[in-house]
Amino acid sequence: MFVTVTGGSGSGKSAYSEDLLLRLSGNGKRYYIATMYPYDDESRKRIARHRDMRRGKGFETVECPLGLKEVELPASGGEKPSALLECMSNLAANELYMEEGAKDRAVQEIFSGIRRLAGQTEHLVVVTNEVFSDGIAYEESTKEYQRILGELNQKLASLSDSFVEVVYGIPLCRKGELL
Amino acid sequence: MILIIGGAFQGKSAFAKSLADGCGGQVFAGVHQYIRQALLDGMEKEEIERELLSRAAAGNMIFTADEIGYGIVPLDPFERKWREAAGRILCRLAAEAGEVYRVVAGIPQKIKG
Repeated sequence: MFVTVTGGSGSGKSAYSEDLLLRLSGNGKRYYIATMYPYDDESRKRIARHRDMRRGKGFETVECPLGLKEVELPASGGEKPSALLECMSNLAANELYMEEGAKDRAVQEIFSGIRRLAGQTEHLVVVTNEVFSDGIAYEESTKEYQRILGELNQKLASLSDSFVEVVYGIPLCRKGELL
Repeated sequence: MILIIGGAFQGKSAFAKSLADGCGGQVFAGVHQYIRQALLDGMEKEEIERELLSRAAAGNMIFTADEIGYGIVPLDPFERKWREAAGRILCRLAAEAGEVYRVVAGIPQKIKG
């Protein structure tokens, strides 16, 4: 099962996504693919908060701020693992702005990584973000970021079995069904 | 308690008033602004949350809030702190609410209850 979860900032999408992957994966192996690059104190705090949320839930963390295509999640005993990838907004920003990033090939590189992950996993939950609706006219590089994330979200939606928007902790189904 | 959310200028207050007229509830409009002012006054997120939850417990309350947090992460640290706090507190209020409505272009959609 492949589910994409979106929502605004502070909407409860992480908590919902963790819970969803726990339910889907049952006793199977669980990976958490972390994408945030710890570039300052605030991001380190965010990472610590997410680690606390995951504690005791049996996730093995794979750090992946760049190069999603390179991630290998091996099957064990013939069973594929499940994975939670969080989140596309970081991955897109890193690929676009970091020196070693894919730059103008960000969409293709990230999405081929997503396809590979979907092939390697029993259940895949991808968290993304709504950054499109504050009506402020941004400078060109930020608009480019919005365009890339918007394109990725549409591709994710077309590949996903279910697409869920979380609104203040309430899941709204946009495609497929709530699981 | 009823929570009404949605973008700015979507008719949330008018909908809140129509609900209040029907059930005799009391409207507390603009929870997001209340949170912003409380943060500016030096209150902590947890304190603000407790304050709002105790108001909610008073009975027959109808809260409205703009659904902020659907844009690019702001450069200004206080703006980030505000939308993060507003998101977390509204998650909590939504969990406590008997009904949650999301209003788009004046059209309310019940998303909980």
